[in-house]
Amino acid sequence: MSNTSENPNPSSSSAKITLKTSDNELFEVEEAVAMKFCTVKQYFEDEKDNDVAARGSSTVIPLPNVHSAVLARLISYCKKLPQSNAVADNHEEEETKKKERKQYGTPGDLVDLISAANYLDFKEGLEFFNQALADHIQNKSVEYVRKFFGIKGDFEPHEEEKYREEYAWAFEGVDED
Amino acid sequence: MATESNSEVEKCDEVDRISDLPDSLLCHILSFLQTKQTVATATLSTRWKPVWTMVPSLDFQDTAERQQNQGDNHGNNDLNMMFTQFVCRVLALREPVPLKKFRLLLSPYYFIDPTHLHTWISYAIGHHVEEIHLFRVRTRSQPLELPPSLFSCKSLKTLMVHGDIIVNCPSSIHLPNLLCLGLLRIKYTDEESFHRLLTGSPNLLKLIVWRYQQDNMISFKISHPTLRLFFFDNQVQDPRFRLELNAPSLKHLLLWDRNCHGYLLHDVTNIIQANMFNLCEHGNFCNCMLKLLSVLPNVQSLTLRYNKPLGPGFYLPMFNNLRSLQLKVKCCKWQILLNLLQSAHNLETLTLNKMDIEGPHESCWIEPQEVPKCLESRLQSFYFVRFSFLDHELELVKYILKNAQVLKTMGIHNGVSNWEKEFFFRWEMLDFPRASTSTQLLSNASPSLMPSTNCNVSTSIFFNASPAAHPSVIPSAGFTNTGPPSPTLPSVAISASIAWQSLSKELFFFMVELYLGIEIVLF
Repeated sequence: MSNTSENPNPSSSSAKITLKTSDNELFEVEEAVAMKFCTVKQYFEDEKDNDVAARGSSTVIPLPNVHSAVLARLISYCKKLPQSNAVADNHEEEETKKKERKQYGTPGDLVDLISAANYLDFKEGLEFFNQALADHIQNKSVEYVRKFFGIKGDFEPHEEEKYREEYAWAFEGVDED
Repeated sequence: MATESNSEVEKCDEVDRISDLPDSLLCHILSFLQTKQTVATATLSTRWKPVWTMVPSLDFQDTAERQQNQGDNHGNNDLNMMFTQFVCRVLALREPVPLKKFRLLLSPYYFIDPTHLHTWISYAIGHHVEEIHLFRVRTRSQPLELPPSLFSCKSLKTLMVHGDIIVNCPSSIHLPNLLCLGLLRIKYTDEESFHRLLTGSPNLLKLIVWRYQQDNMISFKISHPTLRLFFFDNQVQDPRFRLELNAPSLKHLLLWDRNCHGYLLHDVTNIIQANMFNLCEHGNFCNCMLKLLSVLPNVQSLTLRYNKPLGPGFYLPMFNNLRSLQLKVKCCKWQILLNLLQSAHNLETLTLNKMDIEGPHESCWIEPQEVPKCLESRLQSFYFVRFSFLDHELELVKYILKNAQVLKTMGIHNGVSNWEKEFFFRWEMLDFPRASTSTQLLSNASPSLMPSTNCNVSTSIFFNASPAAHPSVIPSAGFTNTGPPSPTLPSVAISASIAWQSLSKELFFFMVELYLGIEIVLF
């Protein structure tokens, strides 16, 4: 499959961890990157405890809920994260961040990334992709959001009408579709 | 118009997959939106109906337009009522789940009943709120008083109060988990209130204070053992003003004022980043500026911005740890540069950022007899923003190219719209002698034309027509505001760069780069 090219560069010398996706792709990932995924970290640590001397990094960690295409994107996002030891009070431009968040494509892609980040317990990723998705619907009308995500309204018309009356404030001043 | 955007939406997603996400994730997504929008999501479908009641953040913004001068109080009162009712209702219907963030933005026409504010804040405190942002747009009425219960909220980590608000601290304050405190353009009942707030927050890391017109403090005594960042912007000019800072853990100091006389810094030797803006507008500024700089022996990143020239009598202490220096000055006011270079032996990045290109032009650069040490072995990057082809500017660029032995990047941003000059300057630059053994000329518009191999020891020269298109030219370390601080929260740095060139010029330069690029490959 094509995503092998997105696997991390194997020439680097630091320890590697191998991850196996739902479609049986193998990803060799630097330990520092893999440890951002708390699920992997937990698995890795449990393995270590069970089998101290023997295999080390040769273990393959299965990720039955993550597709290779999604994992590749998560890994590339993870590598772009600033190193945690950089000055904590560094001030990044909100605009740049917003632009960055726009790069992650359709709502469907984002939902995949969010589900995977959630399964992997990858906190920075979850924060980032959730916000990216929220950016898409910022200040949009209910109708827009429905279309955007393909949500089918299943309320009785009078039910919806009643709710809108009760919370009139919430429906005012949204952007034009 | 509607049909156009509808088709855009239809492209996106046919199958509803977001609704399959668990509640916790939907709540997280909604937590980035204003509450009025999260409430509206209840009408998306039955799946979504209960979701908003569990969102861990509340963000109420009363931004509805009001009639201003027409005495239409009825309409305004209705809007005020609607807002109040909406907030009360949301709080009543929300599930009793923890609240991370509570944000309230009040319009100047909204006269909030203090009991409502107290109830709302109490709700937030009762739900273990971690972040509170209160913002009230300036009004002509009485400033808003904060409810006393706010000052003993144990879960609070971030508190930002902004605008027409008065801080009236009760005698006992207990904010054990407060890490970040922002007091932006507010008022204080008395100086004691401010000081009590600091003592009551023993674990504070960030303190942001912006003073504005109605600010009634004269003397600030900030003595804090854990403070890491202090950002102080003083827009109030009062000769009696004093700020005493005693912060042994302070790493980042950002001062924005017109005057440096009132500042007394003790025990701040751990500062690694200092940005000093406009501190020397009046009187005998050299001395007090020196006094400020001399207590920062360990600073690694220094940004100085000033409008008046700091004369040759300005001798600096040694900055042995200084890695990055930025001067933000008016045209022809950077005489101090040589002094700085001579006292920073380990300087790696130098940015000369002219804020304008206006005259009168006078020479700022005299070639020193001895090459500054940092040029010999340390300086890797040099950026010149708003370069305008003045003779002394040219001399500086030449000098740096000639003497900086390990220079890797030279970034020059053209400040005048004179294509001809820029064109010839580029040609000339090719012939300037360079200290680096192998030199490569790169241009931003067509890097793909450049050979990318054999550049182990190389000097890259970026010459870009528009800094907006290539923000990399202006390093964004720390705060790079070139204007007054923006009204947004200070965690947002603004790199104010102006696109000087029109599109047609961009096109012209692209062609020039193309031409040059090919020429260089041939060299």
